[in-house]
Amino acid sequence: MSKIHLLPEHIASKIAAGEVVERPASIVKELIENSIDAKASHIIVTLRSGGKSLIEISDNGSGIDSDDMPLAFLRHATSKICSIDDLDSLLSLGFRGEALASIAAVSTVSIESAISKDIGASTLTINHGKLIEQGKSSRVPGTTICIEHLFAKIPARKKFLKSDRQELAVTTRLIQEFSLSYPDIHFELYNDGKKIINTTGEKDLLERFYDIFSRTSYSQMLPLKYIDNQSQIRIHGVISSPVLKRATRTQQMICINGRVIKDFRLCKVIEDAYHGFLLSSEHPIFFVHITLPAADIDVNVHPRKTEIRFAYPDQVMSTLFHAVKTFLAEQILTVPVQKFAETPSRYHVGSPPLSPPEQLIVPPTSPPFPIPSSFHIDHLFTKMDIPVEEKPVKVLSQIKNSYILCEAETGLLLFDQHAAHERYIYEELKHSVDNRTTQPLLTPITIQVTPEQNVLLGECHQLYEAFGFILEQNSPSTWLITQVPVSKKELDYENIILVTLEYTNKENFKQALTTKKDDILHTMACKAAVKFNDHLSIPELQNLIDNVAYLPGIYTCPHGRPFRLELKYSDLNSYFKRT
Amino acid sequence: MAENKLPKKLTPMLRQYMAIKANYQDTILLFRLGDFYEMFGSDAEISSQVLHIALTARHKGSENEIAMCGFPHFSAEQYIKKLIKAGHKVAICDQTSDPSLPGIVERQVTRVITPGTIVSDTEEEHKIRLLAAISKNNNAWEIAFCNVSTGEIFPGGGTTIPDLIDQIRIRDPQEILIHHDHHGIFVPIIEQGHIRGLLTNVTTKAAAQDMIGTYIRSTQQSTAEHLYHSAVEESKKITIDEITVRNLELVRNNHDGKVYGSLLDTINATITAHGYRLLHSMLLHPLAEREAIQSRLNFVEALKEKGQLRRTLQANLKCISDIEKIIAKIVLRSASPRDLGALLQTFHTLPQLLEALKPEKSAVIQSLIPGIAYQGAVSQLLENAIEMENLPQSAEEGNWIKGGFDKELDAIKNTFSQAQDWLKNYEDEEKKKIGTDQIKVRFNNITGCFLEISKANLKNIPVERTLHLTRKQTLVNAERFASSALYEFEAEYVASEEKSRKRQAVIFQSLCADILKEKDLLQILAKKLAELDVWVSLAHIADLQHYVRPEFSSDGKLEIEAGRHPIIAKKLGNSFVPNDTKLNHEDEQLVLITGPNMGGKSTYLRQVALIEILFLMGSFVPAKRASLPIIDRLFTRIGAQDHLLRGMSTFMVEMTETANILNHATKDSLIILDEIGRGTSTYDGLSIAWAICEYLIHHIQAKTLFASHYHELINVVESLPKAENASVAIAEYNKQITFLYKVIPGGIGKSYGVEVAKRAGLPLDVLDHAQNILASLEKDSFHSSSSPAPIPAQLIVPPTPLSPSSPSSSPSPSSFVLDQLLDINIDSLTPLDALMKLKDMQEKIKTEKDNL
Ligand SMILES: Nc1ncnc2c1ncn2[C@@H]1O[C@H](COP(=O)(O)OP(=O)(O)OP(=O)(O)O)[C@@H](O)[C@H]1O
Ligand SMILES: Nc1ncnc2c1ncn2[C@@H]1O[C@H](COP(=O)(O)OP(=O)(O)OP(=O)(O)O)[C@@H](O)[C@H]1O
Ligand SMILES: [Mg+2]
Ligand SMILES: [Mg+2]
Repeated sequence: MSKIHLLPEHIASKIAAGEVVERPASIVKELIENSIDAKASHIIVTLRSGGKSLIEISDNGSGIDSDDMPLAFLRHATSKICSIDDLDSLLSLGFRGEALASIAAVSTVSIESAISKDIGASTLTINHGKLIEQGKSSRVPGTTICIEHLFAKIPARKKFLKSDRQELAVTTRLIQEFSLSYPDIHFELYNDGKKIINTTGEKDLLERFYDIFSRTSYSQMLPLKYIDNQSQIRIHGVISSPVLKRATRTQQMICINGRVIKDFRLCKVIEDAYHGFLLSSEHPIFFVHITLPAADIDVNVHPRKTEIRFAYPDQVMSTLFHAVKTFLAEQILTVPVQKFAETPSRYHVGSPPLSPPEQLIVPPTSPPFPIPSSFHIDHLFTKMDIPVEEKPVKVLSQIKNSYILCEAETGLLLFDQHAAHERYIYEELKHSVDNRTTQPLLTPITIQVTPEQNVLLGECHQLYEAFGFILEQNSPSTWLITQVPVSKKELDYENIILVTLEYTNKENFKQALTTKKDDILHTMACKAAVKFNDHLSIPELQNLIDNVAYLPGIYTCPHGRPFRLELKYSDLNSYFKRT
Repeated sequence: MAENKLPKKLTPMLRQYMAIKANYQDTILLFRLGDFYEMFGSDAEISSQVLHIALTARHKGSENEIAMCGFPHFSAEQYIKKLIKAGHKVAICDQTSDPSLPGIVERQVTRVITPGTIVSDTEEEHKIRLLAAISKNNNAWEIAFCNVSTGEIFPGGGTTIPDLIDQIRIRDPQEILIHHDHHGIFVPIIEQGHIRGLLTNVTTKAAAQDMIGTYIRSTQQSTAEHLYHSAVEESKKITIDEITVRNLELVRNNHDGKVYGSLLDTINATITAHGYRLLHSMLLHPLAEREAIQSRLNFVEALKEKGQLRRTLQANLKCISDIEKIIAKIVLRSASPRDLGALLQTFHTLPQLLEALKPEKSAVIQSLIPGIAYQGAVSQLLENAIEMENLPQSAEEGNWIKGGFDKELDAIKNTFSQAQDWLKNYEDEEKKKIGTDQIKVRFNNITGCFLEISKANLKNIPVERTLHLTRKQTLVNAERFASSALYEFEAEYVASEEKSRKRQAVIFQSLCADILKEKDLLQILAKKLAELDVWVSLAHIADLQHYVRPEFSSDGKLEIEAGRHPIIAKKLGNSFVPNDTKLNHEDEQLVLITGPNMGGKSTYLRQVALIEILFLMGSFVPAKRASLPIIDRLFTRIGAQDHLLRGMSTFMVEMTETANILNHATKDSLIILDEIGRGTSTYDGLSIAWAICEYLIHHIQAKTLFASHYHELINVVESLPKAENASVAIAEYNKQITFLYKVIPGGIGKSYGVEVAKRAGLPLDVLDHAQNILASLEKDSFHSSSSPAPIPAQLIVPPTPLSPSSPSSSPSPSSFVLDQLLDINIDSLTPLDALMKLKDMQEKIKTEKDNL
């Protein structure tokens, strides 16, 4: 790497400057970018207390020359650009010469670095901007930077940090993103001595994807490659086949010239390309890299470098749209049709394939008499007498896979299948939650989680008890649902948990649980309910109607939309002038 | 414990006990009494301590009083394991006649369990239990080992007692069989040598391998047909002696003898027991053939690039059970339906492994497929026979056999379902007869069949309607009755239950027999799965730890770029400093490494040895690039350790090991010498080290790494052909030294021993004093002529006539002797030294005379 030098004032003033150190994750981001710029192939991040007590990043990159080392901590000192024009051909992530200086200003930083042509390493310690000591040590060529006492002298900033787990979750997500942006780099993340992420040194994005998001739950990912010669825009990534859909946008990422960018418009472009394959409430999974000439983008927009300006935004968007759309269209031709037909109706998603639903749920109270070992007499004597009543509301058919037409004693009934089902589940859940009842599952449900979700669940799994869920960690990438709220039908518990986990991202989960309990129940019910456009068989429909037709006095979904329309025979008669 | 010493009035049961015990003196006899296993006398005293169970006495207070303790038979397994773990043998004496017959029950020992023969499920993960046998055949000793859990028997090398002890130390068997004639020889060796295995006397005098077979057959009362001799070595292996295994911590650490921290631990990511055993044996038997190594490396390479495939394989390998152990358990009659279930699960997993492998294009990966497809018939048989859910521990229990598999069993089970109908009918009949709906007919294990009427109801029932019932049990608010019909039903039911139990046991036996018929196929399958597991594991480690594929070098060259010590580098991560190595037969055949204590010399030496071993076992190696030779043997001489067992002092051990190297090493060997001649006076040590250096260069010509604190050797090496100096770098910065752990060319004539002692926390007074002494010593040696440094050029011994270099160029011994005489400092010469020197000179002159 070339020498570090100070940028002259007239250049420095043209660079977007501002606060870059907000929380542990922002430090980790800056330091990982430095390691990537130094061509490291292995980056190890070690945290204590989610980064609040210690952040250490160790790489095997090119290292810093011992003479340059004190310089690296000065403002506007960089080895990456010399003039403002260099930004047009920028290949590195850093260019401001700002990060180390900002970090050193608010913490104690020790650095150890070795370059391959020297024997031994140099060390340096800086405490809140002051150089404390310099020395010698040893290490493999590369750099280790260690940050302690973050915000020790700025208590006001320190107060804004969230719990250890929440800070860790943010960093975990960040490293997940880095590891998908740079599948050829080996990333490791540890917190308080525990392994959070350890990718191997794979080269292939799809392999890396499965490393982070285990194959079992995401088997339908497709590798996308597209090159537009004229604009020199290259697009590659992994995107979900249309049969795989998610209820949230958490598994979407766009990476431009090696930078993860939060750009809603580009995400929207990709979702638009899925139009016709997915409903508006369903979201694809994608991790897409866009590479274009450095001169065609401007990264000098925002001090945190999370935004980019395009020279020709329309061209980028149309290329992206075209790439995804044509790719998906090709897939449809090659994916056998019956794959789509096979997608199970949402109604059954929660049930593990092996055991029939009836066996899954243990009755909350089990008969307390002894059962002879090889002789099952019990059912002879404990058989419940379920009153077999006639069904006054009879399903006639499903209309447009969305409405249910029924015949009742007094007239015709039309139900909105989603709203009705949602209401029913909501009532059941609410009843269960209000009465604090829960039912154990005979076979626990295993949910696959990403490292980030794992950290979040670790923080808040107990809070789910208020909703009747008991969750236990099973392995670093799986959790078990062992108890669920009481309901007659099984629900898509996995989806319920993962969707409501999203609340933790937005605000303090604990608070949300008390103030927004009803909202969460709505979300759970909504996610668990059958959807508009889901095709159901007549028995399934009848089953649904048997449950909702008799909710006493309730005719709207939890959000207040009506779900039931009655056309009285008397009205029919009068309309057709039969009276 | 002779029977007649005991009182005459012994009860028949105790008399029976004594008679049986007389044949099992050295074991703890578990005597079955009803539902318990009881121990008596000294057995009871030992066991109560080991097992923490209460010691009582039988016939307390009488002259027959005898100590006793016991445990229930159903928890026997855990207690037996504790006894074995404590180093005892256990004989199980069961009741062999029907206890309900009159007279005393017959009892017999049905098996003897010993530390070397136990096959247990709840074994510590991955522990390899071995039984060894030692025998003597025409003055040559021999040793053989057997892994009872897998049935593999293999010979250990060597013909002398020290050889055998080496083998025992490498393998660490749990139990060692020996003919009682040889008992006396081995007891002291075993005791002093801290060998853990239990020494067992046997009466068979036979080849070691046969002793094992006989012993297992007699203790286990089994055919022992699972025993097999490990396949004749397909490819040539190199020998690694016990010293090297220990020095390099290949399979156990030197700190507490556990696997943790060993090379095995570092490179183990195997999932199955088969894989672990194979990896263990691969480490101890590095290959000596290029093709064999190449083929292993190909597997590792193919899988290293396939992270996703590896993860799928690993997930599936988790469902593979220990096939070899299941076969062993079947043969040793300790298998249960659960073992059959585990085997069936293994068969279920095979197609998934195949499915994962099939789409792969690489021919190397494709070649794994045939081994994994099972061709035998038992997989379908088990599929038809067993119900995977809720498999019982005993064949007689539960409903683990699928309906439709066995007609006879189905017929028996059918009576059960008819029984349900019968009970229902009977209930209905009684309801009519008694005239109320409020009765229940039930059946449980405690009360049997009964008809229950609540007390409230009973009041309202006329007595004459219940006359056919007899009262069976009174509850707080109900009465339970029996009737002759119910009694009959119950008897019939119990009988068919018994029939079903017997039938299930029979079916189990026949399934076991069918499995044994395919024993060979199953053992092959186990081997193939072991290989797959090991390749995946090596690839996984290579990927995670950034190992590279080593190349084969020509001309015996060894070149490593940025090599790392696999164990220490894994622990230290980026703090570990990689180092290059170059050894060849031209100019760098011997490299002398000098430098400060704690500077990383030993680490560097071991690193090279470990990288070479990893290469020879077919693994990738921790380096940026490596080009390595196939060697004929690896020799290590590291550290100092007393070897009391051989009655040798520290120095003697050092010299014996060195002698062994000098006598056996060849041009193709790799030699690691970590300090030679430490355990003696400086001059003796230096002289020996010096002479060895020259001998290695001129005669043996093996590639050698030599670490030493004799700085005088630096000059010696300088003047020798084919030898190079290297040292571990340090930096002095602000009056402090920092170890850089970088191996650099050129020697360092300073050990910084006092510096290091300071770090270790020696008292300041001692340190100051030592510093002063060191300073004055260094000054003196500079002026004194007796100083070993700088080395007088004449002292450098020329190649002796054995070497190819021409004799004419070397100075004649007499002039050499004169120089030597001149150099002697009489003041500092000890009498012994003087004598030695005299002898030396005399010999020189003699050879000169002889040559003339
Ligand atoms: N891990 C590293 N390996 C090698 N050099 C590094 C490393 N981290 C920092 N440097 C050197 O220190 C300099 C300063 O780093 P710093 O992150 O402050 O600025 P920058 O990366 O140049 O720009 P930016 O502020 O945009 O990140 C870099 O230009 C680089 O030369
Ligand atoms: N290459 C290396 N990189 C980092 N640390 C190392 C390296 N080599 C050795 N060390 C550290 O230094 C310690 C001492 O090393 P080692 O025992 O090899 O020294 P030595 O030179 O043989 O010392 P002595 O002369 O006292 O036997 C090791 O335990 C290890 O922690
Ligand atoms: Mg930077
Ligand atoms: Mg040493």
